[in-house]
Amino acid sequence: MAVSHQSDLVIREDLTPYAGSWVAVRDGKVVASALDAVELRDTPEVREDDVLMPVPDRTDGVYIL
Amino acid sequence: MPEPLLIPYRELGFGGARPYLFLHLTGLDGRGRMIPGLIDSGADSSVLPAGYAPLLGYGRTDLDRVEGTQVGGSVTLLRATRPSTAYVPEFPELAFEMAPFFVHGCQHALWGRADLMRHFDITISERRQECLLVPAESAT
Repeated sequence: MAVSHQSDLVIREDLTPYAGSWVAVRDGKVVASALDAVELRDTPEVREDDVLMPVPDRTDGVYIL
Repeated sequence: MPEPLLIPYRELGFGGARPYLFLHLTGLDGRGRMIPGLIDSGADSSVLPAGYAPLLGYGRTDLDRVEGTQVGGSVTLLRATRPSTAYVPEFPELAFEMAPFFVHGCQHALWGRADLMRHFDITISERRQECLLVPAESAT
């Protein structure tokens, strides 16, 4: 059985300072952030293959989704 | 025949190891993106934060407004009327359609039953902190 850590997609940076924002991640590190997804996508530093994701505004506590 | 895949729980940089899985989605604009989400057997279908809609090429005419239910009560969902294409990065040959629901205020992608889980049998072991994905064509 194969085991995958999806290691090329590991996020190596603490994202809690970006809580409530969107971040662009490349090679595990944040390369840009913005308050919304489109603003972030249109940021010159962001490439098409960057991972774009929202950072929850509350990063602690119990998740019940 | 694709082999089963074991994916350990992971963190996404804001604490808490959970059954997160990156999926590759190609939207209506033909652009592909990796998106991290929680494997969620409680979601009838996959749900994405509303900000992903324009990133995947969805405009207003591609979305229907519907009502849904979440743990905290009712919620307005924007249902994609045309599907994106998704695949697990380790199984690019096993692409499947995903017509996600977009939700304002949602802060996590949730990979639900109507798409991902129709194509993979998924077992989550909280005790071992890992998920097992078995491609449906291997399971039958």
